[in-house]
Amino acid sequence: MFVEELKRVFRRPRNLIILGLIALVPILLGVVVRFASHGGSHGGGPAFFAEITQNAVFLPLAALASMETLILPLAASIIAGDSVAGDAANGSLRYLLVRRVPRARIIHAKIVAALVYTLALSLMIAVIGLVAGAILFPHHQVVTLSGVSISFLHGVGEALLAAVVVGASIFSVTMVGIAVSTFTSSSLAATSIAVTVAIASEVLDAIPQLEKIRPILLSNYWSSFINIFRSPILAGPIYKDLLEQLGWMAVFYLLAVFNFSQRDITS
Amino acid sequence: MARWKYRFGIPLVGAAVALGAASLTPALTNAQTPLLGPMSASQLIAAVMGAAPVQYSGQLQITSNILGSDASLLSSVGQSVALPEGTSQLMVYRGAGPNLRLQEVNAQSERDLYVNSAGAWLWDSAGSKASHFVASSTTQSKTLSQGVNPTVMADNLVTQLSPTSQLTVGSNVYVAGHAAYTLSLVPRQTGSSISSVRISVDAKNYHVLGVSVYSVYSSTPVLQMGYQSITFASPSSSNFSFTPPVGASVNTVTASQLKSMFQPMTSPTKPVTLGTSWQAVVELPKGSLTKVSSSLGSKALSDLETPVTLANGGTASLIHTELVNMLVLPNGSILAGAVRSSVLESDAGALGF
Repeated sequence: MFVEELKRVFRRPRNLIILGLIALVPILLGVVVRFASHGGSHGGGPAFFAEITQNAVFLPLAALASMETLILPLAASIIAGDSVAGDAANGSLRYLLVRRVPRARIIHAKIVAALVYTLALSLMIAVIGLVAGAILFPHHQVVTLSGVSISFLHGVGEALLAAVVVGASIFSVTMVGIAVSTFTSSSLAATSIAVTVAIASEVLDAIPQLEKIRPILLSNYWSSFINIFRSPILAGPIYKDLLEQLGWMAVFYLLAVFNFSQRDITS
Repeated sequence: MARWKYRFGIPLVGAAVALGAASLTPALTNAQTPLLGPMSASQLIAAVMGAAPVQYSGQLQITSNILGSDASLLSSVGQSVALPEGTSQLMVYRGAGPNLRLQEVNAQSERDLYVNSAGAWLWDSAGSKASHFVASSTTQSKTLSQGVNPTVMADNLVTQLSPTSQLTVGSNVYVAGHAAYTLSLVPRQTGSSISSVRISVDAKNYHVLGVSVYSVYSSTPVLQMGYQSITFASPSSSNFSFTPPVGASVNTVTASQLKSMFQPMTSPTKPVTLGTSWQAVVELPKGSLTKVSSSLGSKALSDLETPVTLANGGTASLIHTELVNMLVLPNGSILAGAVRSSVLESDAGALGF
């Protein structure tokens, strides 16, 4: 059931097109910075943008930093929103239930598949970014934000770790998408709601007067992966980020599982 | 209908539990009052002064609310603001001897100070700039505890302070999970804008864990510096050594150059002070604020100013912050101090305004 669901997610042409389009971003970013850079202007832009030309490792990081705020949550929402609602719409949910597969197994398989896809998205950005970076930019020792030089392989390892953290940071959005998806047979509605939750969280996070509620916003620690590139690694914000995701996931996991197992499947 | 209970009731309970945990956890850990042996203020000061140096690593948080409600007025000015406002995070690593590492953690960058027996390095990740301060072999810093009896020093200090300040050991608190005494200083003089200064001291090894300055204008601390977490253990030695990375711009500063860098800071003409202790006010010459106002933009500073009518009928303008008040006199000179505006006005009257 779990393997079947994973295969289904990774074989759907639409999901593959999303993966392919997202894979283009780090390549485009690298090419643009390599051939159209007009040096001098430091600062501004997402994290690690200024450092891209200095080392191959910074290309995937800049790509992750620029995509974490919109493209990644959007892609995760599309898959998550479709997970149950899509099956309900095309009628395949009925066949699954007729086969007497327990509902809990169906929803758990869908949750696992969507989370794996979310993680695959960010890991793919990192891997493609590293390959493109290695072709376009020098790959020698990596300088962390603390000014400490680490070996290139160590840097590659940290970039992959950053991708895992970024992927896990989007898990809350994925889980919101799945939970909403169990209520409707319109994947579009579920996707839009999940994206709206993510964007609303980012907007609220940007309002200084709402400082008090920031710690409970799902996007509050989204840039925590930057702290991997300090020496020593500053783990505090990363743990907070993961704890935040766990909290949101727990609530929407309960909503998804209980709603799906108790609801009348009419379509 | 019972199904609805499961479909929404259980997730709602989950949400309530998550929200409750998120809001209560930080409050609970620091809300308890530890039971500690009683100590007088001078005993506590003596213990701090006589404490053996400890090795530790910790996360220091510095919060400033000096501008209070005016902060939003200046938020558009951005990072060039000369007045410290908001929160900054500092990782502190203290090793044996001179070994020290300060790490200022910003969202996308970092500034570091590495100190070891060979000298010091200052690193700024924005623009990858490194400055090397070469240690001179002759100057050796002396620790306070050598040759001075901390109890005598503490008693002297308390005697000096007691006419103007009330020194007490307040209720014990937990700071970063460590039981701590609170030493509180309350001005006996009226007119100060400071209502109290509270210093929390670790009860085990008498290390200062935090300082809060409270203003008469608000109940939240106007300045606060304290450890969010601290571990009393020897940090890894890799924290103190620094080799500038390839491609960084390195600037070497020798001890004599360093001395001359600080020379212009000590101005030849000493500013005039009026009032004593908590009521101390400095009189700054005309034009002292031009540097501040140019970095803020002239409009920003004038937004903070309010006109005040002086005793002789002239008009001065008052710049009010939660901690410091400044009065720009008609002749352009400035009275500034951590005092209420009425003290500044009476000082201006004493000067003939």
